[in-house]
Amino acid sequence: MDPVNINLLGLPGLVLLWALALLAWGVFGFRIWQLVGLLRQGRYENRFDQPVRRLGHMIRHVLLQPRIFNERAIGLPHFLIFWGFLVYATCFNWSLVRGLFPFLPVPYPDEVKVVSLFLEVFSVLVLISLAVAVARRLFFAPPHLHLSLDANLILVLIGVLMLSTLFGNGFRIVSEGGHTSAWTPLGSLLAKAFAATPTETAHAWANAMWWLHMIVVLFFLVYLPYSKHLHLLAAPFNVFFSQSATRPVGDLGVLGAKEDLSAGAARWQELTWRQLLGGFSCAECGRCDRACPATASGYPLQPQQLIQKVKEHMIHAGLHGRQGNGAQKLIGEVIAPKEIWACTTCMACMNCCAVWNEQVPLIVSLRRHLVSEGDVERTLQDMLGNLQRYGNSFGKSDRMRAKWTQTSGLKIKDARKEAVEYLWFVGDYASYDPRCEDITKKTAQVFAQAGLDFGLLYEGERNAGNDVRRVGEEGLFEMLRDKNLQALAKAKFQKIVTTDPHTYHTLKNEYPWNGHRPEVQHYTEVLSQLAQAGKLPLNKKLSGRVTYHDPCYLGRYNGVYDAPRHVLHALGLEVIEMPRGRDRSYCCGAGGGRIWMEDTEKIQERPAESRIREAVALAGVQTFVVACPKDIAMFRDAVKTTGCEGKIAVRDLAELVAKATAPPAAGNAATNPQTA
Amino acid sequence: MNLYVLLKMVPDTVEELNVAADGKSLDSEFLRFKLNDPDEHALEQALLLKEKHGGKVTVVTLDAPEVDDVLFTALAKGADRAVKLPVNQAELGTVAAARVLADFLKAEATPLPPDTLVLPGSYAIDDLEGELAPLLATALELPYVGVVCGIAPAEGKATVRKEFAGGLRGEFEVALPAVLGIQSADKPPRYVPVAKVRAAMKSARIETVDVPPPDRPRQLELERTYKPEAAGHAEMLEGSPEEVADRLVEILVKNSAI
Repeated sequence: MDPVNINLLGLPGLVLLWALALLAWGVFGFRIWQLVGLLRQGRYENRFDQPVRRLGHMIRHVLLQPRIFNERAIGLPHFLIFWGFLVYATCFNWSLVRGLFPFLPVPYPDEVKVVSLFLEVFSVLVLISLAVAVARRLFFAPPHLHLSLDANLILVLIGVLMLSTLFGNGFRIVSEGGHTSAWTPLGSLLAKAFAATPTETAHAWANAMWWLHMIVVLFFLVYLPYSKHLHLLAAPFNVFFSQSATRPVGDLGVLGAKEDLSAGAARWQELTWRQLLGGFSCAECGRCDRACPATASGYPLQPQQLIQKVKEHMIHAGLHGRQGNGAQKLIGEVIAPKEIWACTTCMACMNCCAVWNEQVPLIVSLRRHLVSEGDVERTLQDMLGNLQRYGNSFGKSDRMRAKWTQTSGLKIKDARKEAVEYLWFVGDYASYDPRCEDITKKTAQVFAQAGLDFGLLYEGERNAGNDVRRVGEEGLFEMLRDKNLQALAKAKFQKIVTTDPHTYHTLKNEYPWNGHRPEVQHYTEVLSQLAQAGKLPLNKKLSGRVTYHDPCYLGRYNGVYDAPRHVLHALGLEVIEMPRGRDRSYCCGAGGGRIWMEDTEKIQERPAESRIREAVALAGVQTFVVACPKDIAMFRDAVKTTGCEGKIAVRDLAELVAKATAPPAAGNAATNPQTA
Repeated sequence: MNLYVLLKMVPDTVEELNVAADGKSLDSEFLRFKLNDPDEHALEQALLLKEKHGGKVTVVTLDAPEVDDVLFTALAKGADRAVKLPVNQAELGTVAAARVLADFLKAEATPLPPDTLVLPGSYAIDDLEGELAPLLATALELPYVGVVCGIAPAEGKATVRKEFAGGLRGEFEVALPAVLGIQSADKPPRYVPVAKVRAAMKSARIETVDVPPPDRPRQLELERTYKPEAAGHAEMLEGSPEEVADRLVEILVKNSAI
């Protein structure tokens, strides 16, 4: 029995099927051609390196979708719907080819027993998943999930596909004499329910179900590239071409650029094709918005909205005319500067994006344009001016950079004059901020006690440029980078250790070392190694419960989670995790140059305040351990503004280590970290 | 409009200032120079005027350390022409500097076209009296207004806003051409990204215009430069208000103040 052998209003089924298939594939093809044409107008960047690694990355993240499971309610349902889609898409095409070319010596997929079973099993799994998805949308929608009609329509269509398969099987069994089979368990059940149907009617119904199925899929084919379900086509490519597949995700450098990207993007065509592809891939799930500290604090930024705005603007401007004069401006009209400036570059959005979109580089591209126009707020401008002139954001003389060493009680080597094992790249905050001076000295003392052979660049060090680059001042970043590389080239060292995770990231991942990249470590990593090697003279066992805050640039950006925890354990402390721990760590709000900007928006709660409240809620925890000088500034402020003084104390990890390594004579009464 | 902005380099007080061995000049070991703040406003004001009314902005400096960077930055910001007069700024007193600048402007055009504004900063940290601008106006025989914080040009004249002590403001009408000492521009000075300055360094050129050296570089002889000398310490009076009051009266009586 061939469902194509019908006659509808005098039209043979075969002609009808050909007409529908050509129409649907034609529209689909035209739309894809249009969309690819848009991407081709974006700027070039090379995302074609290491195709094998990319393929591996794609297979893992498209077929297994570990990131989808980061939200439990929808993880498994989405996974099942996706696999159902794969099975059904394959069978649809099989069915279609068989229908279009009746002479082919192959059966229809549902005539093959194993395939038929597969289809039935998946139809049930998918139907259950759809019920969960619909219920989630209707009754338990998480914030920022885009509740579009679009999404519900798609869910209904998928449901129709599943039901048409099951009922098709049922009626076919009835029309063929009612012989049930274990290979079509549900079809058999339905066949029993419709057993009374006359054979002819059942036959017609079976054909109708086949046609319904085919027409819905063909409609889907046309509808898909016009809807948010475009993600199902674009996302695999998006994953394949994602930066994380081959390079550190936080490196803002672009490979193979043919234009100068340092002036950023004022028009959508000035974004790279991969940045534009992100819009097609976005599934509007809202994971990024839910993770974004700026969104949570009530800043005007929502990463998902940003991606969507770029996409809609590109489609409107690129496909529906309105170019040149009178066209909407990407920056100012489509996206407001205050959205662009609200980002802390904490990477929480990118870390949870299931389609591997890259929001932070997109935001930096937009910032670069604002900077190139001189559209920079006053405080930020002052900082950039300071960095240009003095190489630090504090506006102090570069000769004062190592002033803290004079009162450290140590004679610290000058790595420009004598060889050292570790070059300590101290960074601006640890060098200049009076709040950090004592911590920096203690870090030096601990290093010395552990017998670490280390030295400094003294006044030769400049700000590494992490925040400068993320603010969008690429030229200044290059200037600082080149000066640092010149100074480093003259120094003799084997490894670099940094205090600031931001500096750590930039030295490690964003400096071109021309193949001679030294090992770059964060001080928590060095301390962890020293502890492991038994070189830390732990004269005093500390006790008590502490919590540890993962800095964005150490954790999410570079995956260093265990070293600091290991040190705390070695000191004898019990580490209680905050609910938002490790790669879900909640940004303090300082990164990406935010520490230099004024809060002009009326916001609900600063990210750092939210974090402190989270920590205070932990039972028995009175010490909030950080491993970033900016965290000291941000969280000590937040402790005051939330009125949590006395409840919790912000301590740098190095302070605790120094306390444990202090010579016994220095007072052995207090062993609790918060009484330091 | 025809806008001349006069830029002056001053010692950067972020660096430690020390007196040199001669007891007069500044020790050059750590000395760095930066653009005088009000001059940066003068440049911004000129750029704003150009944007609004069209015209040409020429920045003019005497020779000084780090001055090229400042000129290229001005070009990157939108100045049309950068001129360096090869006379060492450090050797000139304010009168002589005004004379050199006046000579340059006279050589540009005599008389200056009627849409010309000459915009020096209103003061500098080594010219707190703000003498340069009036001296220059005198040498050019042009009208002068100082401490200007707003300019609205019209045909052959300009309405300028000037700040007075105590939060008062005055409005003046000045015939053009004129010299206006700028205190602050209508907007804070703009930011120019490093990439643009670098591009200016590659594409633009600094013009060197020879001027006759002044016959008397300095009108005044500098005798001595020194750091403020600490003179005694404050005495804090502590105790109850009555005790403090008694002690205060005692001191005043002792010093024959009452």
